[in-house]
Amino acid sequence: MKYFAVLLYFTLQFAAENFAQDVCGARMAALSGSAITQVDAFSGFNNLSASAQFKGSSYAFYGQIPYGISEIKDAGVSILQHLGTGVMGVVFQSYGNTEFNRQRMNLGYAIPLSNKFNLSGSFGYSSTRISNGYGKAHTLWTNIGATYDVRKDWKWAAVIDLPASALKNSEELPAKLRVGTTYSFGEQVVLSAQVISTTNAQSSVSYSFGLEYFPAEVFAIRFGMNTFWQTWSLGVGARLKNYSFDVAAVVHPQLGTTPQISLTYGMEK
Amino acid sequence: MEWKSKCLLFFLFGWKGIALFAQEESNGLVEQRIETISSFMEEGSDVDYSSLTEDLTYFARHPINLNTADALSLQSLLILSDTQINALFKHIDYYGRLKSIFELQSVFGMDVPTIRWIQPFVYVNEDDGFSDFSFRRLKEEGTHDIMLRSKRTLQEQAGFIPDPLTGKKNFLGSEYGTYIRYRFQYRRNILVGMTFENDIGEPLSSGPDFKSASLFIREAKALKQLVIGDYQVQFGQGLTCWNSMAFGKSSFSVQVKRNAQGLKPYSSVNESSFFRGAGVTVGNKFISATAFASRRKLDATFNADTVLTDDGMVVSSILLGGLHRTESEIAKKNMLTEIVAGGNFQVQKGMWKLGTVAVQRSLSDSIAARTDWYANGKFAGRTQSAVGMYAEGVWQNVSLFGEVSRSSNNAWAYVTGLTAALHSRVSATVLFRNFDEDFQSVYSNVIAEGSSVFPSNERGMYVSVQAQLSKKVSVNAYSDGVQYPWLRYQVTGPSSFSDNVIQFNYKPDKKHELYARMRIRRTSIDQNILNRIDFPVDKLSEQIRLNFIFSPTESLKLHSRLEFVKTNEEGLPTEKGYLVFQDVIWKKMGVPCTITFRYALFHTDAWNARLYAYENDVLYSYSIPAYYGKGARIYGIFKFDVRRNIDVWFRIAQWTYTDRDFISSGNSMISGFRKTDCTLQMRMQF
Repeated sequence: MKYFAVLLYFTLQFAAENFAQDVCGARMAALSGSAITQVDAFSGFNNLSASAQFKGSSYAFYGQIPYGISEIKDAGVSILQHLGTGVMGVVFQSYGNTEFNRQRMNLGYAIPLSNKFNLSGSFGYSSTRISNGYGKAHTLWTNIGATYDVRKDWKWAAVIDLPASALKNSEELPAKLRVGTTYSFGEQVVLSAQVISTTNAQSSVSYSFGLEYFPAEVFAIRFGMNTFWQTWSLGVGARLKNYSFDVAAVVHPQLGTTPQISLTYGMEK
Repeated sequence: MEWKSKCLLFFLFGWKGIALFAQEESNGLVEQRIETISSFMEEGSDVDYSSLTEDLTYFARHPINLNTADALSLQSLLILSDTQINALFKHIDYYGRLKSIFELQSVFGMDVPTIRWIQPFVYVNEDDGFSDFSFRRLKEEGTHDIMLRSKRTLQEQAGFIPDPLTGKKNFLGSEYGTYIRYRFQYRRNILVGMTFENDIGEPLSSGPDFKSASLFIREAKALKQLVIGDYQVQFGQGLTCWNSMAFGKSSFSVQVKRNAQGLKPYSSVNESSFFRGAGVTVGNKFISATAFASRRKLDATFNADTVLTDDGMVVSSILLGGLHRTESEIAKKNMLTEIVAGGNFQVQKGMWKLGTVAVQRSLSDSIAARTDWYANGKFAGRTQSAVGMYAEGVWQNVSLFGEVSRSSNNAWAYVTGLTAALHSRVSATVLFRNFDEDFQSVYSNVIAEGSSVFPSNERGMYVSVQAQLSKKVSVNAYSDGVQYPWLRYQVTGPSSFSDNVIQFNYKPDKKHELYARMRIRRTSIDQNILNRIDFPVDKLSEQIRLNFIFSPTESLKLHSRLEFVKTNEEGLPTEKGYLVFQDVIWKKMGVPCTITFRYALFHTDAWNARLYAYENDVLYSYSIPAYYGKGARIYGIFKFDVRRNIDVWFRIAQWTYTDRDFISSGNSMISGFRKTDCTLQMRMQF
């Protein structure tokens, strides 16, 4: 019965290809989204299976100003909750302004199948509205993720984002396959890399890389780059008891810099 | 046989074998280091490896004493980072002098691969420079090195074919190029050098076309450096005053930060990148001051201009190739006089340095202003100067460096960065650079995407990471993102550029080594379509290389490579290319002969899809040709140790093209599809 109730909460997930990073959370943004194997408060956006073994509750908020354009706002919240043998993730995001607005939600569940292997599935729903009579578009998505711990310091993950359908129209939406790995050097350095294959894109295969350095246990410096968007990113993070505060800046060579902050409560390291 | 006779026989013959082995081993080590360093370099980068070869060859034969070496000597090896050098000095300060090279394992940041790398070039003992100097010691310990080289292209070039009407050949010299070099060196303190060179086709009627000589003295008490003759200068991070060799972008982090040596004697045959005059550096452990001056002639072409000048002539271009084979090339020889003067003042404490450098250049004739939009802000006139300040230091596990420079037209440029040992197995480098659109460098050599010698109109960030994942696996990667605020050649608008490289290295044991490299570059270039306004479009280049080295026996090494490239310019067909080669290197201990052989096949659709590959060459010569078109490349090098301290090299190399009926153009054109080059070199050391 418990599992049935969880299944009832499944909804559709929408991966926004036209959004700059498709990465939410300042930590992930600073790593250009490459650390999809990492436990993260916003893994509901990225790869929920990475957090399948999380025990507890986590509440996170992020906000960013895309390309420094103050008229456009982008914010979201994410909740992770240990439930039964797995973790449920709920995320909500709002992007745009009064003329153009997109909102998306997704709900997913991740379960550890063994000490080393985790699996997740989620559904997302997105609604895009353009003013002046242009109307609305609705989309449903499915996301399946898997994470495998080769060793304590080496992990792999794979995520598939599939557009279930575009409601009310037959527009072809891109599907995406992401494969990533992270390697940890002790407690101090984490290197991450991700390969992204997208259908319906000029460059069908792109890469992102990230480096996370902990000069102290409670402080992190991050760097990332992404070949598809030609962006690079920097960020710092600090942790105090149950609170984490992260800041990132994503730089696009033509469009400018996108600053992002996020605040998390409850996420263990 | 009595044991005394056996000992005698050993010293007569066995010692020679050991000495030969040691000499072969050091030459092989240096070649291996150069090849490894070049594998990390950006392809096509114009780096003078002969100077690096000379330094490493010297260190291989005269290793550095770790107990008395200064930071500059250790940096010259291009193996140790500043944090590793700093850690070594701190270790010696705290625990006393090293007793054995194996003690390096207890120095922070020194891992086993690094120790193996530096082991051939260092030792642990007492060594003094000038403190025990005497002329007797100078005579006993000084080494002489004479090099003779001759080369020729077997096929006839157009410049050697008599004109059917006049009967004259365009090239006034012979089909042989010659090179003679003499070096005398006493430790690292005294160096005397002379170089004479004649390129193929240059006449010998008035002696060798290129003549160079220098006397260099270093570390003679307060006289830190003295050079008379031909020399180069290196200060700061290369932004204000640096006319010497320097590496460009690389995933090898120790190559990113410049380690300035101040004054350097000139030993290359590049006929333009040196000063001619004198320079001196005086100082002590904390302060040093350098002054230098140069007066030399440059090759130049002139245009008429009655507005700017009284004599009606302005310099339209300065020629750097150094070729004087034809009457027109000879007519441009030494037409321009350049006078350069400059100085540097530096304070230093430990690994921290702060300095200021200035340089001024005056020409006998004005350089013409250029009218192209993209050349807006480029130097025109007779005199230019630049002033800069630089700083560097090591704090904990972080090495910081930077330089800011201002040119005489009030334009600015800066370069700053850091290298951090994040973990004993991970290091990262970050470099920021910003060059104003109209920055007019006098003599620069910085890390830049556009031009390292004339940096301008560029704003970029470069990041590289080196990580040792396990004993056998390591990864090197770099990413460079650049913005060009102003127009560039063939780009009529602000544009951007990105360059991303990742290389995985697998070395399971001493016999096997494998690396895989991937590179993605994205740039902008004008789309030239007839009857349309030029506008920049994206150009994407993707490259994959697989490289395998296998030593089935101690005397045999096999080196294989497979490389692909794909270039796509918006609106144009995709261009592809591949290169595959197999090297065989045979070198058996005790046998005075080394054989190197390569066979390569290549196929590229166009020039954009060209590929570069480092080639073995005779000592102090290097070759990284571009493989483009369709065809094969084959070369062989035979090295003989004729007698003790006399070595002979013979190299023969051939291009065979299947897509053309003539090679090259102009006076260098060869009718046919083959081009064969031969080089014969002899070296004597005593």
